Amino acid sequence: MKKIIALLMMLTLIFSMTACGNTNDEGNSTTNSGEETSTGNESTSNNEEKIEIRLLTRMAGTTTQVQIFKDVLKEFEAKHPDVVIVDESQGDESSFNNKLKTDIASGTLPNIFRIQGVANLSDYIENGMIMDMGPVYEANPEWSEGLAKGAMDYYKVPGYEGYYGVPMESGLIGVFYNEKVLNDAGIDKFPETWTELKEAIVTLNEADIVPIALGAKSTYMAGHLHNQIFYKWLGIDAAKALGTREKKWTDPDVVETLAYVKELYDMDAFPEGTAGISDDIAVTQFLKGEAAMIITGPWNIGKFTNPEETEYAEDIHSAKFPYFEEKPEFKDHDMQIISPYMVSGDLEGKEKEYTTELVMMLTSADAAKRYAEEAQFLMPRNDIDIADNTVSDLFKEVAELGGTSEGIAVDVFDFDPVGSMQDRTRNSIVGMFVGNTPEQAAQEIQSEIDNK
Amino acid sequence: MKKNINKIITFLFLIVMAAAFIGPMLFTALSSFKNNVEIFDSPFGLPAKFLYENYKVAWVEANMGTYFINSIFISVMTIVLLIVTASMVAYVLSRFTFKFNRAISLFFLLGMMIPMHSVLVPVAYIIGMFNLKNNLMALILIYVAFSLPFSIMVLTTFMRGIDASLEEAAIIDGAGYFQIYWRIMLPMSVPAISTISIFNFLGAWNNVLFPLLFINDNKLKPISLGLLNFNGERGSEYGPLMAAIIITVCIPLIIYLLFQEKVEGGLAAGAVKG
Repeated sequence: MKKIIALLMMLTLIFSMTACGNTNDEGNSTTNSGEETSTGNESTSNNEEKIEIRLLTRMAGTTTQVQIFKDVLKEFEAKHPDVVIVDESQGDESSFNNKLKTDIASGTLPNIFRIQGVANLSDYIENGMIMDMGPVYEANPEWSEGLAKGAMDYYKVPGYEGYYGVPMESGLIGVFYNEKVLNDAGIDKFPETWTELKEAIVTLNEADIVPIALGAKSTYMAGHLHNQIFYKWLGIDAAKALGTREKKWTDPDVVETLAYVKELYDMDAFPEGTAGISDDIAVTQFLKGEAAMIITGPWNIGKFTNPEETEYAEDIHSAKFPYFEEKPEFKDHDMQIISPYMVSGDLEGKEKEYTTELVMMLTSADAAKRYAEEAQFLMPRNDIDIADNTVSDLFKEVAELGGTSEGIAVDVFDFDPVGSMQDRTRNSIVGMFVGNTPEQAAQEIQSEIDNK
Repeated sequence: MKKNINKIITFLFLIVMAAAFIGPMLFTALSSFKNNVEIFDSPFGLPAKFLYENYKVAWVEANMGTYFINSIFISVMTIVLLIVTASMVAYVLSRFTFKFNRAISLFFLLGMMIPMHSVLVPVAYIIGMFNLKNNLMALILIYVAFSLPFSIMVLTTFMRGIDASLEEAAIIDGAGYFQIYWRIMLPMSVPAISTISIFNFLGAWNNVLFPLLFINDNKLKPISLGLLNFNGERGSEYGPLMAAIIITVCIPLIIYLLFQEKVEGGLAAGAVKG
């Protein structure tokens, strides 16, 4: 026993001298902790004089777009030797949420961060936690005029002056379809209307092909399907009306949108056991040609055009979600992805100056060009000069389709001031795949609002 | 005949249980040599081509060289501090009768009822207030605090079962309290100490939440945070992630195999005498 304890003590001593040394050598405070930036730059030696810029975004992982993001951070550090960047971005949603919630609650908000939604930003704005980017837009027209106006306006929060987010990602979330699989099943063209979609589903089922790859275990997939149906049936203003409480989820026309989701499920439009399938499996089914269609966004273009990932790289195309014949006015009301960078409202002086400069650099025309050409990642700028042969045809298709949208919205719950609506709406929609009726789903969602 | 049927049932049960435990490990090991399409297409099939580079990517992306040392340091320090503090408390609670003995025992037991997530914000606030972000000792102390109630409970129960005649003999020989603790109670409690060591080593090794919130310096991050490097917002590269998991699991597995007998002994002893 004595030997074991002596051994443990010795180990402790050795590790104290090695691992603990990192902190002691380079300072102890949060801002001056001698961090090597997460971008991988050389460690900083005189951090006492350095300004720390902390980022908490979703740009994490091993993709090319994340690499570009990290490259921009490195460039910024190289340009400003008096700045140290700490990138705490998390790809994993629950890790991101835990970190952001704790940061907010303990008053240590990162310089640059991201909150999902728009209407739920009011509390943050009132507490001065998010910077109004309006003055920055005005002071830097060479940068701001290149940003797509629709995407900029998305972050004008109802009831408040100003812009509370800089859009950094955009693009149509629509239907990607495998033309060869459709043709082999006897479908000559992509179904443009709801009736044609239902006919195609019947035909595909007869040919033993999954009509729409959907993994409801990743609840956002079911949520995105409902968003598409909602905007095509009621238009984007109806989503805003839900947020302002002029409409209710239990209104008959809103329940109808849920019923259309249920109708597709009852028609076997999705893979068997869809409620237990994740998005990765759904994407794989589509890549392998086992499914004819998938509802997703531009972030998957890289996979869909990579011959190493799919033998159908030449056959995959994109389209808008089919519209309802009786509602042609909403044919071009589309779901698009718009993600922001938000800047902390607590910043002052040089720190504020550097942080806004970094946001501008991350969303500049140069960065957008790199994102498009190297990662097929679409940034909402209209001043990008992309060489024709550097992007895939599919990327161009998606970009062109996105440009025809007359009404743009992200998720229906984005317009709702209740923060928990993301989980509530998605879970209730998935609930319809395990026995709930559209009316029950609507009631569940409405109760979330009524009980607040 | 009846014996044979019983044997068959037992073996069938053991085979099913073994499959249930080996299945995920086999899936992880096989997936560590595949790409995403192969993983989801045939989860338990052999890869068409073994992607050994997944391990190389895993080592570099997860920054394992540094993160490994940090994780070992954090875990070892946690159990050393725990053994010292918990065994001292357990000795006093199990061997001395005094007015607040039961109240103190209850106080430590109550600690087990506090869910980690419910104290995140106050802990984060304290860490921020005292500038303890990126401080491994602060992280270790948090682990120790959360593990103390369970460790004290196990050790107290175990020490209560140690025969008092040994101590009486030591007292007659002139031993003081500390000598009794150090020369008799501690050596006699090795099975229970091994139990709490392995539990808390694994707890500290696997914990993601606290380092996620309080460590953002790449030089100080543990291996659990390295695994998060593979998670993207919209999909992950599962091949390198599985390779990283295989590498990460090695150390706890070795430690468990080394202490296995002691751990089982400690658990059984605690259970019977509790």
